[in-house]
Amino acid sequence: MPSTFFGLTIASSGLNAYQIALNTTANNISNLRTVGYSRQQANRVASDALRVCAKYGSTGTGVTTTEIKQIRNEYYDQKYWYNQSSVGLYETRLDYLLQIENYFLDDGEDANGMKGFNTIFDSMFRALDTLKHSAADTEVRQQFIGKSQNLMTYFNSVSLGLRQIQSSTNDEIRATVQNINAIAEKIAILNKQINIIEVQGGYANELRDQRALLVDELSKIVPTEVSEVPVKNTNYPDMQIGSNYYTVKIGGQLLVRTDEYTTLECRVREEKINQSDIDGLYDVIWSDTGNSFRAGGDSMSGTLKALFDIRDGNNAENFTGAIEATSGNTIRVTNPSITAIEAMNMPESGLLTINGKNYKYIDFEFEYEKDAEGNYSITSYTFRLEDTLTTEDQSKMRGRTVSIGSAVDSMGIPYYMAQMNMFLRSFSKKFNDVLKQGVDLSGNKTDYYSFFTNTKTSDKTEFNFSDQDFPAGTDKITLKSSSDSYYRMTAYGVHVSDACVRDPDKLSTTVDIAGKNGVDAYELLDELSKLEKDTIVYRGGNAAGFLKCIITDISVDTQESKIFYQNYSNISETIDNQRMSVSGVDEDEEALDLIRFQNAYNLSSKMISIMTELYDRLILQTGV
Amino acid sequence: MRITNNMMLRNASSNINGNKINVNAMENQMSSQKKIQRPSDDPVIAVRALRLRSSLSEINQYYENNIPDAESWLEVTETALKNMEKILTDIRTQCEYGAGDQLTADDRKAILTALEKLRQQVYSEGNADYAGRTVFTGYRTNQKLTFMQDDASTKYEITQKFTYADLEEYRYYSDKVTVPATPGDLLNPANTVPNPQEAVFQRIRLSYGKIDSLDNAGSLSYSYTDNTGTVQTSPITVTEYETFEEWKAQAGNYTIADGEAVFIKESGELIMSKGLSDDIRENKGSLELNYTKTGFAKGEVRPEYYYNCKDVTNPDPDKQIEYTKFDANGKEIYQDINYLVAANQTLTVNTQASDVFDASLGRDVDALIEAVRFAQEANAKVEEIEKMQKMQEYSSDDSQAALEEWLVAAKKEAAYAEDNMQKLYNSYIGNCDGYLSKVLLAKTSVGSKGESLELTKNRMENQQTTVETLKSENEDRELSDIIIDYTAAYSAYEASLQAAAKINQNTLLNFI
Repeated sequence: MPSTFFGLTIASSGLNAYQIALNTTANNISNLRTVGYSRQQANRVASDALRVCAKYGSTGTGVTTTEIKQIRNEYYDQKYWYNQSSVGLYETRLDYLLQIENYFLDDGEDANGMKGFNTIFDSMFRALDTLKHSAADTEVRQQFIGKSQNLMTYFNSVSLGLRQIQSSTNDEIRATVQNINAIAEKIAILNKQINIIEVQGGYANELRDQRALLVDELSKIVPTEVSEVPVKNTNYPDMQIGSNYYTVKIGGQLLVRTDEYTTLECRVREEKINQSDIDGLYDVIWSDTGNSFRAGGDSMSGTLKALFDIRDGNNAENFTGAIEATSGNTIRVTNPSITAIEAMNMPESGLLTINGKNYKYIDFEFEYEKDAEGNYSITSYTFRLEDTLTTEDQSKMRGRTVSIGSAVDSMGIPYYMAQMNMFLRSFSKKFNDVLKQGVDLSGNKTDYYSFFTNTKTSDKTEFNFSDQDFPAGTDKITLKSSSDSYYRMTAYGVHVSDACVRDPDKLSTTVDIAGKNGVDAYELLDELSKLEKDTIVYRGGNAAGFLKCIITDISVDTQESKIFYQNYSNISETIDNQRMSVSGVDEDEEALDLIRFQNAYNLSSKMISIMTELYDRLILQTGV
Repeated sequence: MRITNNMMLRNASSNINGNKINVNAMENQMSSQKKIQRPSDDPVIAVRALRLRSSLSEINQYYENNIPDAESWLEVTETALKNMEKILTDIRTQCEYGAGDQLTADDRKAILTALEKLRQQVYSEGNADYAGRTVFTGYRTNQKLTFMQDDASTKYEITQKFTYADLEEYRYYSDKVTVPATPGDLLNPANTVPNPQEAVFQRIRLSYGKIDSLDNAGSLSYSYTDNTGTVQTSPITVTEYETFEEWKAQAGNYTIADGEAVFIKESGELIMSKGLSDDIRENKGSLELNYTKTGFAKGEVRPEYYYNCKDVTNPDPDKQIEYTKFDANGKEIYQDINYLVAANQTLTVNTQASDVFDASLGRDVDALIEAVRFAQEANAKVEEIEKMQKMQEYSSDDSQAALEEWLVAAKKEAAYAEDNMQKLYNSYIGNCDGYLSKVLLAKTSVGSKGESLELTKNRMENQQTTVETLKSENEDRELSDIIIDYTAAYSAYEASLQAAAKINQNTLLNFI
């Protein structure tokens, strides 16, 4: 038979248990609005029964609280983290695409609206039309030149704006990487603390909540996989040790392993990858190994990938080719992917990637050919390297593919810059070639300047793009990256030639002023008019279609991002609802629990009063 | 599923936000009355809007710029042509007066005054301009049609083509009477009475007088197509003389051998023998003359608007300017100024001077003036001699006899002069008709251009309205539709706000 005061123990176990339960409820209620808090539950189990020497064999001994554990469904957590990377990806992409789209808006001639490419382009060609009627009038010429300048200034400002966006994505990449590092450190610290607490038994509920919140944040930035595996003693595999191995992988690569963490680092690129990139773009590498963290890879997701897509996206149009021959410090590449001067987007000096290794080149030459139908194409490039190649390197290279930069399959800033360059080079060449045939108002030939041109950074003179002309009778020329060709024209620096801006009379409208024609002859202007609608200038369409192509590109992209962001946010909300459904604190439930446990406590304390009365009767009033 | 208060609050919040997004979008639409604020709202509408805007700006250019400009240009041309018509009609009237018989000295004086005034105006209309640009000179709008001042140094080599139709009959008078001034002169036996002679030749007149030299005189020939279709040429021997008088002085008389011609540099005429001119007429031949002229007078037309010529004022061959009016096949080159007045439709707004102002018009009027002056002078000489007959100092019989002889000569000259004037004026009526018809043709052409421009203007006006409507249908929204949608969105927003207010008002604790 158990002890006389056994009942007291049982009742007091009840008191204890319900006090703990009430404390737990109080904890839940206080944390009603805490973000990321999972409701805790005190789990009670009937205490081990006591064997007694009596007919009834064993007797219950009350209740013990085995654990206070948070109610959380890891399955929903994993699903949430998996979805968050898509949310992050499309949210950031949408944000930046809207900014890029702003530069291509065109509200037409409304006074308050933004005057975009179409409006400016139209007004330039209307001014050209008016010029035809009075080709000798200096004021009308001035007007036309002014409108042409407007067009060039538009491209300059769009180019500047895009560069600024590229710069802010670059800064945001750096901030994001620092954020990742901070999160990794915090998770590692938490892991250590959780293990210390849990190895002693019990659950570190609050710390786990904090850790889950950190992973929530991290999963939006990069795709995150978390695995928690209990530590096992190999000699006694069933023994519960209490601590866990907790690993966090981002993009499939290890970031945190229990209490150790690795950091990422931003390294400034020494060589540009695209011709129109700004300086100082970052590559992300692991600080310990120096390997690159392919944040922009095809299988990646999250905010970081969105930033890389915007900053480096070139629509997979980077330069690739097959190595035909190598020599001491040159590499000759054939079958190039870029065969038009207008589409050249590689930098003047940069890095070639062959077999996964990077080789720096300082300049290059290319062969430009004209075929029987008058189509021009680049047939080969020869890159001059900074370092000499060993024979071993050379033997490995033969027949391999070479690329400059990587193919990022999204339409980001490098893509739009390259499109603007392509349009400008093609349009300017056709425009300039018409005007170079003529003479100005004084009868002097105008082939010594190009109407649309850039300024050389070396000596501040203007380009004349004469190197791109084929001498009579040849159909193959070799140009260098430093030649006077349209490769050097970029949207950032293009402008109307100073010769015309200062003196509108230098614009040519006819081939022969003094002799055959007169000052009002305008046959060259007729040819220029054709460039608006009737000549194929850009992407198989006419020049006026430039903005339509760009708008189609960007608005479809933006709309896609909007729709996907909406979808993934909705999914994220639904999953979060499920999470909250399982782990959220409900006021009414807690209020009911209060009643429940209070009643139970009252009953237990009543039990103790009854037991006291019993003992009282027994001790003081039985057998006295 | 277990729902917690937090979930309810969260859902309410996200629903309110969703409604707010709709209200915001409707509010944007209401302020701008456009369907889309940025292209990504609806890419199809955005691209269509760009296209329509382009079309509209083109149509506006036609309707508001090009067509009014063209109209003004045509108006200026029409005014100039109307003035020209009046001048030519006046000249023709003078020709009719002059062709009548029995003209008095006053009549002749009136004709002379009128013609001299008309001579000045003949090419002035050709210099008409529109906003400082000469309308009849093709692309050379910064130059006038005529020389504005006497220019002694300008030198041109000109090539002028002629056909058999340019041959005309002309009467030449020599041995004109100079009335003796004093009785001494009258009775001087050395002073013989001249016998006025008339010589009639066929001639071709160049557009200019005072020629330096006929450059292809040595190789001159006329060409014609015979009945087998082959082109034949026949040479002409040319003798050059400075003036008409020099001809007689050097050759002794005014005869031309058969197959030969005489070129008078001062008056710019190629005078042909009867046989030669008959041959040319019969064979319908044509010939080409190259000549050089230095120095042009005010009011003469510039050769580059009519003929192939070369400005050789500058001795440096690189700086000499060559003008082509006719290409290698003899086709005329037109310097058309075309205005784009509708899509794919151009209108030639200018008229070429060579179509309206004939280069020989000026020389015709000069010839008319010369003829009337000749008649005037001849009759004045007769009157003077008659007066002298009645004068005291000439009352001697010798003087009277001599005067009688002089009178006969003078009367003969006067008869020739009047006859010439009558015949010349008569034939020049035909010339004037020719010039008039050219001007009328140009005027009609300008008139019909104006009409077709009117039609185009009408069409462009309609098209402008159409494209504006299309543009509006594409991108604008009707305000009433927007207001309905906005009200609906706002009601939904208010309802969600109300619903959210009811959440969490009561919990279980209120009832315990």
